[in-house]
Amino acid sequence: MKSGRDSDRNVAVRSYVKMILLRSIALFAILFLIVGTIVYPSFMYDFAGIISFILVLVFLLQFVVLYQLKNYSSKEITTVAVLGAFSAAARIPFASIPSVQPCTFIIMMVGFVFGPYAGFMVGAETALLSNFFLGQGPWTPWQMLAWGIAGLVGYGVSFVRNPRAQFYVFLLTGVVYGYIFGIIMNLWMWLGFVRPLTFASFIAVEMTSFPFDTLHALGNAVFISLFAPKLEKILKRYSLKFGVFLDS
Amino acid sequence: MIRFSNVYFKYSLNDDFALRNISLKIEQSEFLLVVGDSGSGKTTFLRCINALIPHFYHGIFKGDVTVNGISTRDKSPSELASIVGTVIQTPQNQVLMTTVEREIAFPLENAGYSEDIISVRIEEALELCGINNLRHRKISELSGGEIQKVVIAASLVHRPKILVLDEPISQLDPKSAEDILNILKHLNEELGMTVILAEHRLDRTLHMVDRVIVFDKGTIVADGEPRMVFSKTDMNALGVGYPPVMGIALKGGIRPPPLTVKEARKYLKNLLLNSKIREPAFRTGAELFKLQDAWFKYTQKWILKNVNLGLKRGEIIGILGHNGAGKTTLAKLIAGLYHPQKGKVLRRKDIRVGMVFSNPDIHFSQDSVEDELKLSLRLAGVKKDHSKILQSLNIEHLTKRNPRDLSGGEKMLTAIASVAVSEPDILILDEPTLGLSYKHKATLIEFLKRYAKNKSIVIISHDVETIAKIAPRILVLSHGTVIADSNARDIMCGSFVFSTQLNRVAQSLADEGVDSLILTDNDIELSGAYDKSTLNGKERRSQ
Repeated sequence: MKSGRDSDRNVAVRSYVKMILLRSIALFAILFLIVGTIVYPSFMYDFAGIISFILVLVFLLQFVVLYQLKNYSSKEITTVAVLGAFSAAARIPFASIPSVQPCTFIIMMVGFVFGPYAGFMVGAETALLSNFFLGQGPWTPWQMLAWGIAGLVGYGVSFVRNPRAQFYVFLLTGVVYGYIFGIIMNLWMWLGFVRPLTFASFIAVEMTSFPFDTLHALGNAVFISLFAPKLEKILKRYSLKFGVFLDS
Repeated sequence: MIRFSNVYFKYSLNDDFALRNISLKIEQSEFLLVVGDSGSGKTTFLRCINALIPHFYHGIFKGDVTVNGISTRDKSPSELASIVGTVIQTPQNQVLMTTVEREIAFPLENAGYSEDIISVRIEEALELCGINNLRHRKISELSGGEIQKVVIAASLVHRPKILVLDEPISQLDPKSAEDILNILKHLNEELGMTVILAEHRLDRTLHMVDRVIVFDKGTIVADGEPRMVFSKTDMNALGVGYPPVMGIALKGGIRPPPLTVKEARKYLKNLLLNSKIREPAFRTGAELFKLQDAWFKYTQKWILKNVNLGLKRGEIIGILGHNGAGKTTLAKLIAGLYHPQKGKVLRRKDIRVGMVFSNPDIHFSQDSVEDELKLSLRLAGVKKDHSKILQSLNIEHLTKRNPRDLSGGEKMLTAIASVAVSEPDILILDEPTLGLSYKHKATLIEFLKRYAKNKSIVIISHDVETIAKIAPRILVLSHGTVIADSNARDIMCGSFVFSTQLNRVAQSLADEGVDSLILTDNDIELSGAYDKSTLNGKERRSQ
């Protein structure tokens, strides 16, 4: 019993060490950017793709460590892992329809029911896992980020207390997030492959993705209106029956 | 030693306490049988021993449970795993890996044992359960009974001090069930393992155990030596029932009642000499379905070979056979879920077929029992009142409950109700007595007999006693071939394996003038007028 608590403390200590390590890596990256820019004025501009890639990666790792620091029980971690796998699997059959998939709404719902950490992790897992089937690449961390944020946004909706308003806010957020998801992914495209990096060129990229983002938004609207109330019920029931609360 | 002191438990989603003020002590090396009606708290009781309550199932937990001096509040189920081995009610849900060997190795791999120890323990467990031939098979290709044996083997690799089993023989054929029970007896007698068993099939278990505890609505109402408990308490009222030989003896006023077939031979002779056989009258109508020379395989091996089967309106067919004989596959062919690769299927166009699977969970998609039935009716395009069937299955109190929160037996009845409510012309039931108490079995038998008046029913079961009461025609499958298809009495009477407990008594007394065609207690006429079941039988026949 005592040893169990000790090992818990060890895990916590190790996580803090990792956290500090990651923070210093992040700090180092920022310093590197500043120094790089001073030494070589077009540093940020020329290496924008790789630099942004590293920054996203560092951000994701920070979140994973934060998740560890929460000291969730194995039951809760399992729930997050299973939901991530479910969401990833749900993406694959829809691969042939561009941008239309149920993942965004599943992730938002997980964030809504189980809180920000579960939401972010399920989102990140969705991108990582499903890309083993659909193709990994430099876009993977960006997709992990974009879907992770969808989980956070879902958590945000849970602050709406009126149950009737909740559904409509959730629906609207889902539609809007279809476009935000597009902006995050366009950022990757723009920073990595488009020159010059001007506002106009970003708008140009945004224009090309607009039809796809609209499909994503419409898809979200359809999935939310068809399945969201049911999924919410299932997750809440599960949470109550087995005492899996995370941050709900 | 296991000690319960004033234990209460309420599942978070249920309104009533599942356990109320349970206090008892179980000594090391006891062989304990837990009985009770469906939903009386047996499974909840077992979950307290392996610490799934309070660690996995959420709810209100009061009191204290200690296992070998360790309080279950402090230790998680995984920490207790090396002391308590568990086999849960639905073995399909307990399997994690893809092949048998990996599944059995998993608990040890997880606990970090070395390879040498693991390979020895796997060998041991496989040998003990007699499933060495399954070693490299895929779990997904195993039959329900085979999975049950694999799960039991996997629970033994830790060499636990206590073994907790929730209906471990429910899906096993009579021979495999006997094997597993003998293994448990061996573990208990030779290795001193405490074995705690929840089971509805009393005819196979009651004589083996040292102690029986009887649950009713979450409390223990009787506790003690089996013969004493069963002669003092009215088990029918508690929904538990008696083993057939014991039930007859008590009705006939024979004390002390016999527990085993061997004892029954002595005690019941006079009673059996006075008995008469009643042939059940049943009429059959037009043929609904026919299989002609059907062959079927999933991958390489033929699962069904040259099967011929005709099914008429008003018929009830019981399908018997060893585990993995192809019974469920045959049922799926009848249901039209698969088509034979060779041979012909003749099914009348205007008939509907309904199938109840052995795992009731897969039937549920709605939030309440009522909605489940409404959905079935809507899908079948039938307009009908759904509450009647709940009444006839005696589960109307579950109408508003979520089917996933019910006990194993209640789930099974709900699944049967949800299929039977739209009145399909052919009703197929795969192991319908799974988790059902005596009381529910009796209700189900009555219900199915009424249902079969103008429909036909196919029942797959290892529960020979139920089949004997219900099915006038029996089909025996062996390795995919129909080896017998005939009148129930022709097949069961004199069979070594597929006979009922009373028939085994009658068989051995045949030389002394007892009618060897006796199958169930319905066949036995008692002189006293207090025998209600016999009276009812007479009335039904005269109508």
